[in-house]
Amino acid sequence: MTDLSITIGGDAGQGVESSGSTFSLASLRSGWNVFSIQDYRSRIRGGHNFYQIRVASREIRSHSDPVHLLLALTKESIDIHLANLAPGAGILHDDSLRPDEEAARAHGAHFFPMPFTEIATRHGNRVMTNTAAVGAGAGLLGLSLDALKSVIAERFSAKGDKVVESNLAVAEEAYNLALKRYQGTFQHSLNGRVPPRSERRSRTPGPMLISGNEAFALGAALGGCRFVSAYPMTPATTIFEWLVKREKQLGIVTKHAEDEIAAICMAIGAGYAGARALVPTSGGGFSLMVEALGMAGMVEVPVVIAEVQRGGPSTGLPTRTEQGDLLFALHASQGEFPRIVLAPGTHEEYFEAGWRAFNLAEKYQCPVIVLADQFLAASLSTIAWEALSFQSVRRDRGQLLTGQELDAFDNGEYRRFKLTPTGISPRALPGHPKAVYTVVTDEHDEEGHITEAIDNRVAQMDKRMRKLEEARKEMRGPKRYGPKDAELTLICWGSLAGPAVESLPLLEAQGVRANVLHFSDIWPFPVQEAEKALQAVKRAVAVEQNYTGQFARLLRMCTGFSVSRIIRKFDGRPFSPQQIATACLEEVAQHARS
Amino acid sequence: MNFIQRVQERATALSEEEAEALVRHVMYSLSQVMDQKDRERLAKKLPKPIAAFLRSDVEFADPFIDEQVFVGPLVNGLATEGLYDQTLGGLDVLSVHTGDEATRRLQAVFAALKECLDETERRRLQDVLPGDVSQWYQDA
Amino acid sequence: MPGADGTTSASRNGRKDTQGLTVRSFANHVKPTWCPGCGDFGVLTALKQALVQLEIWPHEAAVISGIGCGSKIVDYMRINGFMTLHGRPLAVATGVKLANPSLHVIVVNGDGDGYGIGGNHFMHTARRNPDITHIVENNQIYALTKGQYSPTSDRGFKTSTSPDGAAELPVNPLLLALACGATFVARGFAGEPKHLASLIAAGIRHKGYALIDVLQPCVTFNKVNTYEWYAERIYRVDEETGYDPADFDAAWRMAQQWGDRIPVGIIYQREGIPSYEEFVPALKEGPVVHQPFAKVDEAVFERLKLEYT
Repeated sequence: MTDLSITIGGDAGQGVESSGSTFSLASLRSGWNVFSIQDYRSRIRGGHNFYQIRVASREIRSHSDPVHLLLALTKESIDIHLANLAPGAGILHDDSLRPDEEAARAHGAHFFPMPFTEIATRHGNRVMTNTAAVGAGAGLLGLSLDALKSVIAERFSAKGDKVVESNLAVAEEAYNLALKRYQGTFQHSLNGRVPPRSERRSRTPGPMLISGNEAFALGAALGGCRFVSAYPMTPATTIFEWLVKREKQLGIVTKHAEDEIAAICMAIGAGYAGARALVPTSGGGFSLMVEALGMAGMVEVPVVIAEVQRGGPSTGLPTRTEQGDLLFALHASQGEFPRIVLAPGTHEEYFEAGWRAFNLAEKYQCPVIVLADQFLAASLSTIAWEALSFQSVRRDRGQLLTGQELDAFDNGEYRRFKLTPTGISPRALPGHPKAVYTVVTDEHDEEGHITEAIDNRVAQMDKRMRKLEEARKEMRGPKRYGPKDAELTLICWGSLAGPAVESLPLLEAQGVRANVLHFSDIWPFPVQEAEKALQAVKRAVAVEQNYTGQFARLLRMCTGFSVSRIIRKFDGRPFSPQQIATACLEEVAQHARS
Repeated sequence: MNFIQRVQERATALSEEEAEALVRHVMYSLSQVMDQKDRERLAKKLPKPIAAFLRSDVEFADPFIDEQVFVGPLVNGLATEGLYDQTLGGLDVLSVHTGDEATRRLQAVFAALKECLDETERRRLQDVLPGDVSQWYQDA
Repeated sequence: MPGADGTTSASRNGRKDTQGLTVRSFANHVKPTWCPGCGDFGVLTALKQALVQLEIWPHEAAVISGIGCGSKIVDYMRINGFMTLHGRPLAVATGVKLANPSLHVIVVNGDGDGYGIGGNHFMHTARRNPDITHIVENNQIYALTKGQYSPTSDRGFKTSTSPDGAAELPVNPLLLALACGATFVARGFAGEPKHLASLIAAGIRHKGYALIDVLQPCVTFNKVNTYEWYAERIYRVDEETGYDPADFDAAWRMAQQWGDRIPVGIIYQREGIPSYEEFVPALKEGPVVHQPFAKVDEAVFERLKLEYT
């Protein structure tokens, strides 16, 4: 069974990102399962960046440590990544670098110097050094050269034939040289998986390699997104860019607003007018949107907010990951109003959230927050072609009155906030002569007029909050991964599904029978389903990417259930399965002692 | 007793200056709802200092002026400062009476006006007054 | 799947019925809580009159307001109304307009809402030029919070938060709008609703962003800038011989006038500039709220997925 991790490291501006995605896609096209993460800083040039690519024969859900091959574009990359190299790991580097051989040998790493710059300069210019590195890496591992060339040809096609040819020549020469020079000297291989893609063109397309944000945007587009407004903020920007790029094809109004307050207010305006509206942002932007969030709740206008978390507080760790906004998302804005919070765990769930959030928002006429994070947003995951299925997508607008229904409406004045058993009032969009109404952010009566009358206040509060109980009925309980009878249960939410599930075999290998309970529907909290699932739990740890164990606190608040330990991480770097397993083993050992 | 004094007497508790301002405000509003020829005819019936308060630069009446816009200048001149209660967040505890007070003062001016007019002129003026103002005039 | 479109209406079937449209068509049962004689009444009257003049029915317009005395206007008329947040109606209105450009979108807010807390949206909406009519009820004071100085209060204006007189220079909304590229800049006076109605009608007819700054006495809290004060100072620019509102330089000079003489009327209007909606590709086929979901079908989806193989 093959399960390799490859890191490409270098300075920002050296093409680490494009090398990483090229290598990832080439691996996919060679028939492997791929999962990749990027690590970069908030700056345009300079500073160390890296791309970590995991390539495996089985399905994988996360990146993995340690690393088996390092493609080092700078000497600094070697120094930084040495500690995370597996015994016998290879380091491919430009022969002009003078790495610290002693330190590497102590790690059991092997050097594979290559004339990257020289090859690049001969066929093109220095900027193609990264292509040479990728070519050499592919050659050393015996990855399909055809697959690599197909990716390079596509990537550079927009820049003209000459650039494509030069890059192909660079890649090919580096590939062949590495193969010739080091064949049989490196213990790992990615050789001979399946025929390259060109030969299976006619059949069903192969699996996809897609980032979380791309999957989400795809889901939103498919779910009938008609309006997106945003102010750029890492790591949510790629959702917006994806939709802007395809606005003509998909018929979506996209608006780069003057600030985040404008962004959400525009979306609420569009939602009021009847468009399915989306606002992608991160925690800082969401902080600015908080007042408008309450407005959407009060005037019962559907709106979807994708809150892609990054390291906080304040500017925090702009390009890194964290799950620090959970309780904030649940409580943001003054007063009480219904909201729905989803925290997808996998790329497939993030895709589903893209369209499901619109259905929930329109059905319950309230804001829906999709809580993702940088790890889920930016990581590339391998997804089966059929896993993102058109047939699975539902577009349910809830109690939206059609033009025909309104034409036939003959029941006095239309009441936008009519009291109903479910709390959901049939919704008419502005523009019909029989449904002319006002909505106000003050407390209002059924017709929408301002009033502070006691009976009405109570009735309208009850009505709005009843929607939450109605929504709770369709909130999903935790998903269990692993055996039913486990001695240890890992409770997690959001993006941690992958790393947590991947930690299970590692624990199993150490004799710990564990499983995972993963929550993706956060609010309204699925109390009954959670309690049912928790009955089978012997002992539980919470695994969270924040300081205070926010989900563990929420779980306790809603069910009374307490975990015995919170495994936390708040350094902005994603949890690897190994880190989770190590922390769980410590807990098991500690528990055994006590 | 001149016109101002008669207003002062009817709208009790006003100084002469306040009464004069009141008359000025009402004459301003009246000017807005009358065509030039109506206004000139009215001016002839009024004491010169009072007629001088009528605007001369408006040719046609503004048909969109309702009772609220009509009383605007007058309310603007009501001395409400000093009635704010800071323990109530600056709420003007007497503001609820503003409307009634405005009507009362307006009627004081109307009563004095009517004394200057014959029946035909009175009716003519009543016809140009908007909405509720016409009723207040009639009751004055 | 239910229809994507809940807005089939008389305005979409091409016929336009204006029979029976009067100011009463915009009346509802709610009694305004404004102070007697408040300038807001003049704006309410003028707005209704303008809509009648232009033959726009209540369901064909959306009035988006902020927070403040004047913003309550949407509660006092029968119209598609949305009273939003303090400072944010322009942003909400932009969303409404971009989702459904077939609605006549009108924003009404106050000077604090429009030029203070909403100043950023004001600046950007002016340069963005969506087809939105923006009426600012400028009474140079915060009235709903019982009388604090506002961004347009003159220097030296004494209030509960400026006991020694405001130290800041007032915002000149006309100059600011001109500097930001607004294509229609006007000033009206709430004490002259007929003229104001004509300005509002011109603003609605204007294709693009139209600012109508309304000088409006706060009868209760502003005892300086009163009806009388304004009446003595205002004059109509259209009665000035040779004044051409299409001349930017002339408008720039005109907009600076304040004090003894205050110009009202259309200060600046530049026609023939495309409004923002015309640059939005998704609106080429009509309002997105009328587009069926079925446009994004399985074939489109499969093509998008292929990008990732």
